[in-house]
Amino acid sequence: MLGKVFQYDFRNCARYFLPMYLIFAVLMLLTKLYFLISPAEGPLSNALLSLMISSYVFGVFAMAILTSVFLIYYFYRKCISSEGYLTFTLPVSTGTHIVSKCLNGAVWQLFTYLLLILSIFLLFPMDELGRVLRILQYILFSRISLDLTVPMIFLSLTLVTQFFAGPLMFYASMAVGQMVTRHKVLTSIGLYIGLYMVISLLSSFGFSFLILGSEILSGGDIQTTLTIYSIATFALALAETVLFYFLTWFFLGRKLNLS
Amino acid sequence: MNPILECRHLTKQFGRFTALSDVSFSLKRGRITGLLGPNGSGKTTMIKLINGLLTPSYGEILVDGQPVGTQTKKIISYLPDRTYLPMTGKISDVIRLFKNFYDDFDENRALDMLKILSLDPSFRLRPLSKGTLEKVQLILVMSRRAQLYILDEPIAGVDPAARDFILDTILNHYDQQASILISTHLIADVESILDDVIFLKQGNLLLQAEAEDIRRKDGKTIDQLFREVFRC
Repeated sequence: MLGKVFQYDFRNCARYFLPMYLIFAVLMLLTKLYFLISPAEGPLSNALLSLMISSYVFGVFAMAILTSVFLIYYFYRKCISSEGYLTFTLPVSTGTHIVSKCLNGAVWQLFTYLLLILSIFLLFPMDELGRVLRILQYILFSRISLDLTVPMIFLSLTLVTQFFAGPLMFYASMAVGQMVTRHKVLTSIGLYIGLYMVISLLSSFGFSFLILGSEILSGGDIQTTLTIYSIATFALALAETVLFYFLTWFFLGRKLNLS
Repeated sequence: MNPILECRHLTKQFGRFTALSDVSFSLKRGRITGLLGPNGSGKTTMIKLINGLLTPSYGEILVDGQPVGTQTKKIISYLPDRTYLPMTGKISDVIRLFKNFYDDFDENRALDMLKILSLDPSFRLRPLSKGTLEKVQLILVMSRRAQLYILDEPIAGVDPAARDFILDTILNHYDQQASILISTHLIADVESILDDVIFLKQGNLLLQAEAEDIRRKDGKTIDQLFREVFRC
C-alpha cells in the first residue's frame, strides 16, 4: 500500500515542482548563455550581468523556500483540509500516509538540492571550483592533517535524516494544530515557531556542553571534537525525526479532528 | 448474525460543547436506516466518528465487530456532506484513485453511471458545478460493493430532479446484503426507502425504531412524527 500512496503523492507533487524546476532551468540556461556570449563591457552589459546574477541568486533562494512551502501546502491539503475526508477514509494506515509523505518530501528536497548543485557546476567555471576544493583539501589534510572519514559519514547521515526531520516538524505542528476547532492554521504556525525555538534552545545548550566536555576529554584535539560533534548532530537529527513522526502519527491517528 | 455497526455510549465533546451524549445503537445488515434530526443534532458528528474522521471523547464504535481502523474503511463507502475530491485532476483520475485503493470498486459501474449523466471521464473536475461534483462523488461511492454505505445529507441543496437521480442511484446500485445509513432532515424525500429510523436531538438518541412500526402503531408517517418531535 505504501507504494500506491507514494506514487499518488509523488505524481500530485510533481504538478507543483516540475514547473518550478522548469522556470529555474530556463533561468540557469539564460545566465549560462550570457556568460558564454560575454558581451563587451559597458553600462548595459554590466546592468544585464547584475540582473542575471540577482535573478539566479533569487532563483536559488526561491527554490529552497518554495520546496518547503509546496511540501507544507501539500500535507495541509491532503490531511487537514476537505481532502482529508478522502485521505483518512482510504483503507490506508496513518503510519503509511505519514511515511509516504516523508519519503515524498525527501525525494523532492533531494531533487531541488541536486538541481541547485548542478546549477553551481554549470554556471561557475570548473577550474575555479577545483581551485577552491584544492585549497580546502590543503588546509584540512596537509596543514591540520585531519581524518574526516567518520565525521563525513555522520554528516552525510545527518543530511539524509534532515530531509525527513525538516518536513516532519511542519507535519507534527499541523497534526497538533488540527486538534483545535478554530484557527487551525494559525495554531499550527504558532506551534511550529514554539517547537523550533525549543529545539534550537535545547540543541544549542546541549552542543555547548558537548563541545566543552569533548574538549576537556580530548585535551583540545580537533579530530575528536569534530567526531563527537558530527555523531551528536546525527543523533539529534534522528531524535527529532522520531519525535516528530510519533507526534504526527499520534495526533492524526489517535486524535483526528476533521471538524 | 452480528450487526454491521454498533455504537456504545458514544460521546463527543468539542471543548465545553457536547455534540453527542451517550448514544448507543446498532444497525442490522441489509437494511436502510435514516439518521434523522434537525440541523445541529449531531448527525454529521456521528457519521464522522464512524468513519474515523473524529475521535470519540468516550464510548466505542464497532463496524462488523471491529474498532474503527484500516479494516473498517475497506467495508464502508462514505459520502461526506462536502466536496472532498482533489480538484487538480480529471474525473478519470479520481476513478483511478478509487480503483487503486478500494478492492471492491467497480469501474464499469462508475463509467455507466457517468454516461447516464453525460459526463465524460476526461472532464476536468475544477470547472464542474457543485451539484455535478456531488453527483460524481455519489457515483464513486455507489460504485463500490461495500458492506455499509454511509451517506451524509446526499440530497441537501439539490433540485428535485437531481434528488430523484441521487435516490435512484442509491437504490439501484447497492448490494441487497449491504446496509445504508443515510442522514438527512428532508424526510419526505427519503421516507419511502427507509427500513429503520434513528432520531437524534441535540446530541441525544431520541428514538430507534422500524419505519413500518411507526406507521402501524402510531398511524403516522415518519415525516409527520419528525415534525411533531422536532417542532420549534
